[in-house]
Amino acid sequence: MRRDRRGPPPAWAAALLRSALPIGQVGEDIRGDLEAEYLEHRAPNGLARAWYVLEALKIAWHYRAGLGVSDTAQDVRYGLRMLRRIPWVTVVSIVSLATGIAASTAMFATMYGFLYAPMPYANQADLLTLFQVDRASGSEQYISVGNVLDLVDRVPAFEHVAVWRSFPTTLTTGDEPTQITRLDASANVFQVLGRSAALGRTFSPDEGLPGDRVGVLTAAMWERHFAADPGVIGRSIEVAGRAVTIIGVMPRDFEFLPADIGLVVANTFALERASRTRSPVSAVLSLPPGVTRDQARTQADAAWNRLRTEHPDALERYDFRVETLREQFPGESDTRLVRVTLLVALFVLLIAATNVASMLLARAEERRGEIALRMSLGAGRLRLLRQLLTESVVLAALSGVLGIALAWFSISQLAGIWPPEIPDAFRPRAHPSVLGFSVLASFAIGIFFGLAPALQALRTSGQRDGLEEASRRGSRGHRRGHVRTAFVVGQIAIAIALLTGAGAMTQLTRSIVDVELGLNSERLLTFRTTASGARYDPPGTLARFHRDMEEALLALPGATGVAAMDELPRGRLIPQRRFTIDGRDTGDDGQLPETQMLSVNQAYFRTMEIPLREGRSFEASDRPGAAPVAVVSRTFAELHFPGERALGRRITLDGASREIVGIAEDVFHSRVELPGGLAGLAYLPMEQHPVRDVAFAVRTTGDPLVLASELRSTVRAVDPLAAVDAVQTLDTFIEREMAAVRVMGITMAIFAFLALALSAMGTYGVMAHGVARRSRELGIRIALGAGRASVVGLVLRTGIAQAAIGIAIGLPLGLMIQGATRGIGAQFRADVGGASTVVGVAVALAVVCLIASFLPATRASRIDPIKSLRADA
Amino acid sequence: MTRAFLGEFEQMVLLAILRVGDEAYGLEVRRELERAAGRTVSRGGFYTTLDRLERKGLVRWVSEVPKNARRESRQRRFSVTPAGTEALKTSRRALITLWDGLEPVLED
Repeated sequence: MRRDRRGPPPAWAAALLRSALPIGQVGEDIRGDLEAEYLEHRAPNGLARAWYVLEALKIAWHYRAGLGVSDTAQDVRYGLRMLRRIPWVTVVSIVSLATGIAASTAMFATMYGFLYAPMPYANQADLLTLFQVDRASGSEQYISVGNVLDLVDRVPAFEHVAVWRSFPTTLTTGDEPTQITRLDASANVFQVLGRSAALGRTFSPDEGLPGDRVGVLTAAMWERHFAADPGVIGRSIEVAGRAVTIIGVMPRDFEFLPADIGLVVANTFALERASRTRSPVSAVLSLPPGVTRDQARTQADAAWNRLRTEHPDALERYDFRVETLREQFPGESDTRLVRVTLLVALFVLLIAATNVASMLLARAEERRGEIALRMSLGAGRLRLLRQLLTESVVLAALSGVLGIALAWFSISQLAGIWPPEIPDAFRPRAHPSVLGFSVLASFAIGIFFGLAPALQALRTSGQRDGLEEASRRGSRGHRRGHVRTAFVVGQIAIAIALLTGAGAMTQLTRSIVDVELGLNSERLLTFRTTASGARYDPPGTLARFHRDMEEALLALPGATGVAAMDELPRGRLIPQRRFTIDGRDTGDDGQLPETQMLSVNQAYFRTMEIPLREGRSFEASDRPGAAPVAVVSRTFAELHFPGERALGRRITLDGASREIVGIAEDVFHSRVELPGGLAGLAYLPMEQHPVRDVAFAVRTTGDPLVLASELRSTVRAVDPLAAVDAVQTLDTFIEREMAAVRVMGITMAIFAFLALALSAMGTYGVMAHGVARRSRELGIRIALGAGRASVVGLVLRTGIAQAAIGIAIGLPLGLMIQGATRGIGAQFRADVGGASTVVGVAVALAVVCLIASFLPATRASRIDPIKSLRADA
Repeated sequence: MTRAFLGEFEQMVLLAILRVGDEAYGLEVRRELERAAGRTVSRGGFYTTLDRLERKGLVRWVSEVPKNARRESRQRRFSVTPAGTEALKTSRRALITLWDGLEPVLED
């Protein structure tokens, strides 16, 4: 029977109903009736539960409408009226609080997307990745095909492992060859990730054998290159000159990491079966039901150890590691950066909230008369507390609404500069939990920062005083003033910490963006192209392609030089390579030195205007078959040949012993992260070390973009199937690569400015209110002959004292924060400043506070004694 | 003692209790009400009306476990007090007086 299968009603709704209903038989009876009806409800389970929740809410509403809710509505109306009475204070409070909420919400959204947003796979929690770990350096590497396939055979829990590898290639169907990113994956890839095609089908288990090429398009590629034509299914497209049959299109939310994949082709990797140290692939495992991560790990470790004894030469250097898929992204330093930014944003929010609390406190003092009157007329203490809290919550809620609108805008701005290789799923967006964060933050602030002022207003001892004040204002309330002073002091302290932190971060991003490149980036037109397909398999064809391209490009009007390289400066991270120095033992720990490696053409150094310190550049004689050579960077020479002459020495890199024939000045080639500072860089001649995916940079005499249109036809003339991608000047390229970092710096600068402005506002508010409160006393002083200067001095002294205490607390805090950022700074070769910077910040803040107190002070000196005394009579 | 008139819904609830008789538990009364009125009756409104009628002294209840129980817990069995019956009679009289002579206007 249906009734037996029905579970209990939703516990939370039942609990809510219980709390709303009268205690005892009446409440029990009503709940019992509803539950009985729920159990007999004929709708399916889910609908019945929804019905129960709805009915419970309706009953609760009926029972509470006559009691609490109407009071609250009244409080809200009253609160709004009070806020309207002091429009300026209200507007300033709301705007500052909204800014704080917006800043922290936007940062929370970024952090949520970055660190926690799930990947668009059905069973994300059960997806693990397999890595090889280099024992010497501890660095994770993609696992080799042979090792994965062996593990799959031996580990029962590894039944569902998908492997894949992405690489750039050229789509040669259509009017013009286009560069795309292709992913070769085992046929079970979509099954492991738990996703099916939106159109057509995904791979069947027997697909992907050599010679059989079927592909699935991602939605982005389908829309961009095939105009979202459903007829693409079954069509044969040409990729790097080879036919691939399209069998399906994935849904729009489906993504890989990296996210810029256009085409997924089935591949058994059968030809790479024997490879244990090369042929790296991403390997993703879907845990079978009932197998825990630890069980899988134990099984895999045992299998790996057996594998290592079988292949000691290849695997001696490697350990094996299993991680969750989501742990792959982001890296450690990005995580830290995002966390620091959120922290800074929360500090801004804290300062804003302190301002509002301070304002509410001032208001509470002004209203002591009113409150005392109401209490003596019989208003309950709790009732009044609730009303006062409602007011601060209303204020916070208004700020929250504005803050969320602001946050929404900022989030869309942040999302706009999202790099294409990071999945869309990780993009900052106004997710429900993000919205929840801002709503929660607003209410928490409303209650928490409204509590102190409300309690202040309700102090019993104040009842008589309050009544006195209701009829006659006096210069009382010194003790209450202390709380506000404490707020200002705290605010100044936080502001110092925040300004130091934000200042350091701004400095950091600035030094990342504006780093001395070591080359001339002006008037350089750059683009990428890929020599794809079997056409370039025969030896020598690739080098010939590069030479032909160079010649054709040099013939463009205004071109004075053509550089070719596998990666543009500040582009993708160049992987570190191990090498040995000939004639030198590796260290005691057997650890090999590492260097970045770049393949460049002869004209590279001249065209990029990178000076050579010693030796020579590459020459026509550095051909394949000739003695292998290398040019190294100055840092390379200093790191690996300290106090020695590097020129003429030999290193073994990428499988060949190479003579160092030249030493070039340093170039900042990396995008951002360089553990341990600028790394050494070894250049190999492209002729001896050809690459398929290559970037060209053409030095021009005039505006480089003028050549852009001719560029395509020039490249086409060399190879009709070569795609021209990302045509732009080097400056533009670097600017785009740095956009995210730059935005980070700007955000930090905005936060710092907000902190400064908000604390100035807070100081001003407290001082102005203090002067208003003391107007009677000051009036008497002036009446008794105190000079204007002495009155100004009197008020200023208070302000200075507050600032001094705040700075005394804030200085050590600032130094601490600076210490924390110094570590990150060193990694990016950025100077975050020393103690003098923190002191400078403190001085600046002191000046701002002084100005903020000066205005009320001059106002105090203009108090008309007659008026101020009469007002109190 | 002047007594306020019964609201329409209050009258209906009282009448439904009388109609159900010995088995006048909340659920049964509301079902009778829905059957007679030909529409659904809001639970919240129904229970708060019962509470109000109880406060006015027109309804009382005893707590007991029903004889042919759907559930084991104790439930409230409602009955109309003599004051309740009296109020219904007053209402009825007033309404009948008001209806009187209006048949030509109101008849379908």
